[in-house]
Amino acid sequence: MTSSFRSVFEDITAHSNLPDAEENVSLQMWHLLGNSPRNSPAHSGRTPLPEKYLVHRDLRPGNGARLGSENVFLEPSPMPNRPSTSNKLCCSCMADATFQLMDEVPLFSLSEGFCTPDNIQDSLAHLDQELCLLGYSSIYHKSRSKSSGRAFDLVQLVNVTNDLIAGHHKHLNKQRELEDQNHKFSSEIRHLENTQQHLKDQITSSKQDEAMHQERQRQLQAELVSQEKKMKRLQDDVRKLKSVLQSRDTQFRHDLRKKERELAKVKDRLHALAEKKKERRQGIEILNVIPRGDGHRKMWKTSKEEKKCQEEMHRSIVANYEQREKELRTENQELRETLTFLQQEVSTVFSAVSRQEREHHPMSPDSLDDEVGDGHLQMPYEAVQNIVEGKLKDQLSSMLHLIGIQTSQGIKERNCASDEAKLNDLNAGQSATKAGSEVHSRSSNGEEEEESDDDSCATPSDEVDAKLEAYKTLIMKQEELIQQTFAAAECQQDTQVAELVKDSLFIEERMTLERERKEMEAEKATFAEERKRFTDAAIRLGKDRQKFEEERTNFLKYQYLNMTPPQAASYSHAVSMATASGSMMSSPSHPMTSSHPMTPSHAVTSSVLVTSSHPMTSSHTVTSGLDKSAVSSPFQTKAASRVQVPVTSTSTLAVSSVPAGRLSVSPGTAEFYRVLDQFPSPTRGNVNTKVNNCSTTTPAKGATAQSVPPTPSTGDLYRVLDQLPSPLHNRLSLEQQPGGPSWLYKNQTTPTRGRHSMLCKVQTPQPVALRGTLFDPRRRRTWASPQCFRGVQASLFQ
Amino acid sequence: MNFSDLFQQTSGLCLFSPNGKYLANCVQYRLIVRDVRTLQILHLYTCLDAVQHIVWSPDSQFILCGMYKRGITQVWSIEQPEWTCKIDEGSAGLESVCWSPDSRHILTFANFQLRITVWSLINKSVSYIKYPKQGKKMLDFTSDGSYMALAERRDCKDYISVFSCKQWQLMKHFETDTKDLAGLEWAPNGRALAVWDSILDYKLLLYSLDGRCLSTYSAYEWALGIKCVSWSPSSQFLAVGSFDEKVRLLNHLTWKVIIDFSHPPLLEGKAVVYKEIEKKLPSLQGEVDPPGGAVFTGSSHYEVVSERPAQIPVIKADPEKANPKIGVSLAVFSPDSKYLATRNDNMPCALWIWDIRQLALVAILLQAAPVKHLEWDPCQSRLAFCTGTNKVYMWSPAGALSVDVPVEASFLVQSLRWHPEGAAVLLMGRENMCMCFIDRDKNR
Repeated sequence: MTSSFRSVFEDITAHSNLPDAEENVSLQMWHLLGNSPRNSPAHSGRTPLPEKYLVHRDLRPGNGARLGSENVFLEPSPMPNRPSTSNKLCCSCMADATFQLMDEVPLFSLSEGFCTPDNIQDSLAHLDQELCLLGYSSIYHKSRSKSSGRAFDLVQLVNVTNDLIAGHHKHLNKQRELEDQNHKFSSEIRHLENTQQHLKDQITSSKQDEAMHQERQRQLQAELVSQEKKMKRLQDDVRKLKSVLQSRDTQFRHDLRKKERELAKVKDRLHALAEKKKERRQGIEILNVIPRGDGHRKMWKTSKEEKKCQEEMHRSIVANYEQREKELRTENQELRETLTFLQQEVSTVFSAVSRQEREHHPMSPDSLDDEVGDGHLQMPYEAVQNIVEGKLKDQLSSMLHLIGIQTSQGIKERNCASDEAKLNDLNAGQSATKAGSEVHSRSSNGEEEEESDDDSCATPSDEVDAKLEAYKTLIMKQEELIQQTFAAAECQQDTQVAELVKDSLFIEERMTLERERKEMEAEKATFAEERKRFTDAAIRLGKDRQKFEEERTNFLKYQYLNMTPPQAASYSHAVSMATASGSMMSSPSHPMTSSHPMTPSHAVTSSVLVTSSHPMTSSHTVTSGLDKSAVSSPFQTKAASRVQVPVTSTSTLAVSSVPAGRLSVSPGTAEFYRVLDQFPSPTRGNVNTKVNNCSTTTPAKGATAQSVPPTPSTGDLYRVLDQLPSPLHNRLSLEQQPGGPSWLYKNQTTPTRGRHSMLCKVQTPQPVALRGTLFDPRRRRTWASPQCFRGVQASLFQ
Repeated sequence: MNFSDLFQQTSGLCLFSPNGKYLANCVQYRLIVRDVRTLQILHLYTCLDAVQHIVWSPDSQFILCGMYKRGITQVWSIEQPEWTCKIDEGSAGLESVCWSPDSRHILTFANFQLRITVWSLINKSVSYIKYPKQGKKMLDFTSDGSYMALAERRDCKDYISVFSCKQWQLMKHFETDTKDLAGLEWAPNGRALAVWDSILDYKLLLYSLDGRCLSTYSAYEWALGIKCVSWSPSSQFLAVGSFDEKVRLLNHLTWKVIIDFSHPPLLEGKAVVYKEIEKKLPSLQGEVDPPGGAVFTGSSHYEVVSERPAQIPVIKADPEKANPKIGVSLAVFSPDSKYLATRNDNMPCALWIWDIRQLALVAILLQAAPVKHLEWDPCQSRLAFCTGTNKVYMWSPAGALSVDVPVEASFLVQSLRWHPEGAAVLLMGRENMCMCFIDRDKNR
């Protein structure tokens, strides 16, 4: 902008041919112009100073140089080579605005012909006059004013002009300000007008709305009325329908009754007919009458009996009521006790808290007087209802109040020891009652403790011991509690009481934990005992084996020494069983029956006979596990259960059989069979197995087959093993019915009892885990799919 | 859990003897008595016709077989297999038959509820009781067996007669405040007799032994009323299921409602929701599903649904039909009275189990098929139920489980029965049965 101004100014100065004074002025103007851009940086069209001067100087007739805004000056520039032509881009509207401005403001119009070189003096005089009128000092020298006319003082003129210009500037500024203000006001007015218009619109719209609402309200009202009418109608309908329903109901019932009467008549008729006809068919045919369950005969119906019956009934009614009354009484008593307990607890806690509170606030009311006595709670409730309820309510409200205070203020000072003791008492009392010991709740005191100990000295020693133990634990607990309280008091004084209360809440949990621990300990003890028994059994087994080895060596020795001819061999070979090899090769389709000529071959219910004969051993029979009831089975012969092989000079070493077959296997017996197998064939003991309808499982590992306890001591061992109710005792029991079509397997650990003790036991290395549904038609056994319930069973069946 | 083989039976006629030693079942006209442990046949009796009903005598000495078509009842003795007894109801016809608690009398119900005949096995004497009321639960004995309550209808009014079972002597006869009595049941302790009206009126009445009305209860009017009534074994609660899909629990002292359990289709709250997920067997290429549908179902397992609200499938009842399938028709207490199992008829696949002490729903089992039959273990809080598939389901507070019955896949469990000692469950299909032994010691 400056550059454009300057260019214009240069132009002016170049084309003007003003005198020196004029040149001076123009220089001053130049100077001014140099400052002007700084003064009016943001001015648009009305930048006063430079423009004015420019206009004043530059305007030549017919050459309408126009003032533009900012960098815009010329539109129809007289000098086409001007650099400012490049600024022709200015918008015409702005230029128009400037024109308007110039027309309006006469300041910018040139007073042409006012001062010419001819009338300069007059002009000056006129100017002087004007200036004097305006209050400026004269532009003539005062000294020479009288004598030689007035001397023109250029400096004065310049000063005055400067003043004028400054004043003019001021005025212009003022004017601009006013214009701005004016603008502002006008815009404000416009805004207000707009607002007013808007508000007016709003008013009209709200009026419309109102009208609409009113209309709607009217409509709704009308609807309401109609709905009410409808409702009334519906209600009437309902009533009518109800009455219809009722009438139908009554009609239905009436008809029903009629029908029923008819039916009753028909029945009566039928009865009569039946009575008249006396059917031959009807009646009871019974082989022989059976006696009453209690052995008495049927009694005649006499009045005496009837009376007795009535009496009995009334007795039972009375007994029922008595029972009921007793139940109610107990319940009532229990409720009373609970109430008393609660009341005591509340009052204990409350007293502790309130005492504490009193220490802090000595003025707080003592509400302990409201306490309900135990006696009150045992009185007929009807009589003391108001008292008890009122007091409890008071207590509760004051307690709530206290709690409110506590939570709001917090407890700042340390708790006194007695309060703690009291709270501990409460805890101790709870634990004591829970533990079932009769410790009084005030037993935290050592002396009292001793006293109670002394008292209980009279009772038997173990009771005393138990009590002592209980007390000791109690004391320990209390000490712990006190310690805890102190610790808590030190670190957290504020929350002390809260802690205590909280602690009392955990007592039950602690008790349950304690109980659980006790149970666990008991379990541990039983486990230890079991383990001990097992060790014993193992030791005994070892001894047994040792004994057996001895026997065997003896046996071998004896055999070597004697070398008897193989008498029994010819018929004892019929069935030889590779027992020790772990496969008992009998199957249901090929029952292996003993063909021992001396042994009567009885088709016995699946009995397993193990006979072992040896000529040299002295005749001695060992039967173990023989059950009498088994022998008395209907199809059973006694020989089946007990077989002796009466070979000359031979004897049965161990023969036993239980009708339903009981196989017990232990490493010891397997050993026994291995020993037997090792014997040379002539002297070998016969092991006959007789299995009818029997399929035996072949257990997975070598320890198999069936045996009979060879010596009484082993028998003992088995008995011991049987009696052990241990999870290790996973035996697969095989139950079978001779005539029955089905087979049933189950894992059984129940101790042997009664006639069911016969089951064949085969020790398996682990609980049988057959997967899925096995349906083996040959074996005909079914297993539950264990995967279905293995996961759940632990939780389900515990 | 071990399963026996399948045995034949007809129309679910299988019963354990009350002492738990025997198992009786019928195959057409044959009655077979087995030993429970071995399942070995102990006795086999041949009846005159196809048996329709069997009942053990309470002392487990006798068993009676009702042949309704012929109007004959035959009684067999376990101890004396050669002993016979035949009772012929004559032209009056036979509708039902039961034992008296002393095991020495048999009560036969003639057709059209003409009369009840009491036959004595002690001296062949016969007594009649006229005008019994028609219905299922119209006769009940106290648990000690000394009294019998019988609903009667005379002059279109309901009466209850209380008989002494010793002498068959009428002790009390009183009118009840019912329009059409639908059933009665003694409390297990014999102190109260619950009597309820037909489904048209919700009305429950409680009478003492001597006929005094202890209390009357009615939850609402006009709508269909009571569907089932069940005493807790402790006699402390009376559960009343009704057509409004609610079970109301009554107190035994005041006879006031303790709580009403509703069966909403959207379940909120903490109850465990078990959902049965069926695993379909992979079908071969070109394999077509058999027409029977559910015959060859795969195994299934339970999943716990944790999202809330849990959705329970609901069947819309047809209001046009009589006896709409809606409302609680089954409410059974566990033997320790701690739990109550219910089934709402319009949610047939859902089984609800409520904790009585907490008075809250403890579990809900959403089955793939409608629950057919359920029974609590007589010794503990363990529930067994079946849905007419080849599976048996169990629930206990510890969890739920579904077990495939490892026999032929065509064996669909329609009903089940616990052994009185709780060690075994008898599973009954349409024509077969199977024993399921639950070994407790092993699982402990």
